[in-house]
Amino acid sequence: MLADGPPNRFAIRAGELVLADAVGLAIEGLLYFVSLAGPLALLVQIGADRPLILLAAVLVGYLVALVIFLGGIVVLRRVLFPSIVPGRFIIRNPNALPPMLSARLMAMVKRSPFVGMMRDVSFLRWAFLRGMGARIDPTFVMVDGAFIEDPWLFSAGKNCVMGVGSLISCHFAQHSVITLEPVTLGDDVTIGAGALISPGVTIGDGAVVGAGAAVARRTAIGPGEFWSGNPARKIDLFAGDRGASAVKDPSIIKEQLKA
Amino acid sequence: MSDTIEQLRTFITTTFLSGEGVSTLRDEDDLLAIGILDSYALVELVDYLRTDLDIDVGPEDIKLHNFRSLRAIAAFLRTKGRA
Repeated sequence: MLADGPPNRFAIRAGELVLADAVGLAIEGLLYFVSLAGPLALLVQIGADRPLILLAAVLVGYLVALVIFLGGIVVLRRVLFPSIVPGRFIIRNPNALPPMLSARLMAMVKRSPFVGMMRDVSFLRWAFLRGMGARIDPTFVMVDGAFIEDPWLFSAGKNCVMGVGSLISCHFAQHSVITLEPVTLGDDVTIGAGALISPGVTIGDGAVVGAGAAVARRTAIGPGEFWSGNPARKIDLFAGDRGASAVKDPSIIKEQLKA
Repeated sequence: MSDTIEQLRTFITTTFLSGEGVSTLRDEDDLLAIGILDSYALVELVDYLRTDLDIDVGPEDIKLHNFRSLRAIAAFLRTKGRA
């Protein structure tokens, strides 16, 4: 609430937050139980009593638990919230609930021990993100720490790379209004380390977003362009005197690279 | 006055919100505190006032109290000579 204004009657109440958290924790606990119970039952079944067999069984069991956990998240998202539509909603609107609660499912993945494996292993990443609703190619790569907040509104072409710690978000919340806009990447897009891609951004084929750039909402980056900074702006690498002199004397580039 | 408010209510709920009933917004609701008016929306609203309602909105008019609620915007328009 702003000073001297009337109270915002749409604001979330503490009780609702507690209820959502409690239900979320129960679901999360159940997911861990189901994920670990399967492999554990198998372990007991095969009666692995030799240390090395036990170790191998535990390691395989971990991978099985990971698949069950991520699969469970995908099934929950698909069954509970089959439709998530872009738009701008007051949080009391029925259309605001599916994306808000699906984001809670993504948060469960983010704080789970399985998040790194999901991000780093190509087929796990592809299967999970596709399952959550992203339209991506198997060649889509995410490096350590990269994350997509709302995969259900995300699509990317072939050979795109998200650098270390970069973030793509297809939503933002302002007070009691949540805005959801798709993010679309073409082919061969590179997103630098630590860059932020905001809702509604489109990036053309072969474009590059520099490290640490903050690409503002609804920015349209054209094919082959290079954008950097906060707020991100188009950088013409060969503009003006610098480009012309560099062509005449390539040592300028070498010096710049050394500096 | 009430016609203006209804016109504004329809514009704001259909332009800045998706699938929201016109009745959602009350006259006194704080459009900033709820989050309906952000910088994008304010620009669109001013453009609507200028082009569709033919109101002369200058930089000096872009004040918090002029855009705070439907009632405030209507009052502001009244100062601009719109009944």
